[in-house]
Amino acid sequence: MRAPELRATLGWFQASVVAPHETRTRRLAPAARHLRPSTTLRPEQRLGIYVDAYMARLVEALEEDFPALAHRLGHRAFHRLCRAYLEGHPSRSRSLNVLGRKLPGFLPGGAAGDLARLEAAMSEVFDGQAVEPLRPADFSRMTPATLARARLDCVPTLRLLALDHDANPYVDAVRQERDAVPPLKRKRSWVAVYRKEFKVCRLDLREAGFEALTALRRSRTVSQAVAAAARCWKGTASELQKQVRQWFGEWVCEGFFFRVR
Amino acid sequence: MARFDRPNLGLGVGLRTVHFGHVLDRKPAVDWFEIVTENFLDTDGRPAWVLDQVAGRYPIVLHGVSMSVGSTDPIDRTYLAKVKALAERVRAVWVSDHVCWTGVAGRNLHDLLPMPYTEEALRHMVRRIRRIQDVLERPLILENPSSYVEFASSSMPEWEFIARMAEEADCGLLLDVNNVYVSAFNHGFDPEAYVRAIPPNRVAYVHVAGHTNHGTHLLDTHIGPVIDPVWKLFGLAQRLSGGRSTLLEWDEEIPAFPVVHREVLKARKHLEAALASA
Repeated sequence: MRAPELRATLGWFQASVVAPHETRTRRLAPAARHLRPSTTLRPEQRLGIYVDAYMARLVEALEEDFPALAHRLGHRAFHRLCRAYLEGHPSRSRSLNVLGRKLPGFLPGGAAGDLARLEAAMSEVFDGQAVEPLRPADFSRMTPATLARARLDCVPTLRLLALDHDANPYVDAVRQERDAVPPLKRKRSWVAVYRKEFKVCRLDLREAGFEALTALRRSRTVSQAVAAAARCWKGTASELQKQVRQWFGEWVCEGFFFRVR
Repeated sequence: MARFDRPNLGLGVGLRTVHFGHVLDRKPAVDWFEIVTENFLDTDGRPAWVLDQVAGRYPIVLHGVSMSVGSTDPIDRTYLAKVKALAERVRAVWVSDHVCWTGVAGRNLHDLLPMPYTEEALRHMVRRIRRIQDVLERPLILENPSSYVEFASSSMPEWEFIARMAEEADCGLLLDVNNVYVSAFNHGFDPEAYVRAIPPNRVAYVHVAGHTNHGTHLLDTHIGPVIDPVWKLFGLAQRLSGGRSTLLEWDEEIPAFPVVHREVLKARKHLEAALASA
């Protein structure tokens, strides 16, 4: 094995930095065995600078990605959540951008879980692959029959979320630093997260719209998507037809699709 | 050392997200920008678009924080391929990182962790730098770190480790004079002796920054203006090297772009004085 002493030293140092933040106990050599004191600090105090910086930096990164979740939980609870999450999901990436991608799955659900899912989707969309979306003019020459048979490929920066709480207004209020944050009500809600000219946007959907978009994402035809919408539509067929036309126009304007097949 | 004898890029600033709008709209008269490599590697969003606009107008240097050159984990060739592709895309003048490691056993602590300065670690670093340079097909520029611990096993001072590393690996150096100052305070060595021990012909460019004084130790926070003793070290480094590109880092409580730009422009008078006395 190359550099065995170096390997042992770095392994000890890393374990000593993360150990104070983890619940499992490890027997580690004392700092004084590996580190020299300075004129002002003992070895364990010098090591402590790295110990403190480690968690502070990662919590800060998670808080940047999940401000609404942090607001909901409060500083101490959010910090506790981060410690528990990082123990099971330590960073293995070169970038901090993906540190929180597994946080929604780590949470048991509930309001906090919904906030985490929404904010994680926003982070994914921010960095996602850029493609040129179709414009309204791209559909102008299609007949209704052609459109009904068409499959529309959604841009990679579109996420569709079905939530058990009305999380979107809460995220809005926290991220815009409004004085009054609305209560996080238990209520089924549907949100599209997408990117428009590099800005991450969110659009509240109705259930029928969500089902139609989900069908399109699964490579169903437009007519199959409308049928999916109809299954949960409470109004009349003609009302649905009118609504679908309006939704479709909006989705195209917002750049949800990039290819017609 | 012709490999590092590039034209002096002048006075540059670290490109930060909060300044994207100003840089794109106002097109400030900055000589060059340094970017944090990892912030632009796995994104196809606004950062990538902004970078392409900036790279079309200004020279760019890639400055990484996750190459983990000193780690005992295998070299991450996927990561290096991404760095290489980014460097080619923005026609990067240099690719730099740090004399440090960021994790072992597959983990990344996202910190610039200190190396023990031993013969074994030196051989290890030299081997890895040579391999990395082969993959990148360009010289690697490595920055002296700021640190808060010294390993009991170290058998040589940091400046000797870095000087030998640069010569044996045939890599360039990014001399961060704020880091020299911070580590000198923390470990009780003479910062000027450090700067004098660095082979000047290996220095590609120089970093300046602010730091935070905690009384018992200094933290390299890249906050606030550069203090006079650091400018003094800067002058010494520039006098010894004959004048190198200069970059200001400001990463906490980042002020408006003109404030950051004014701070790096202070380097001009120190540079002129240093070169006049050379």
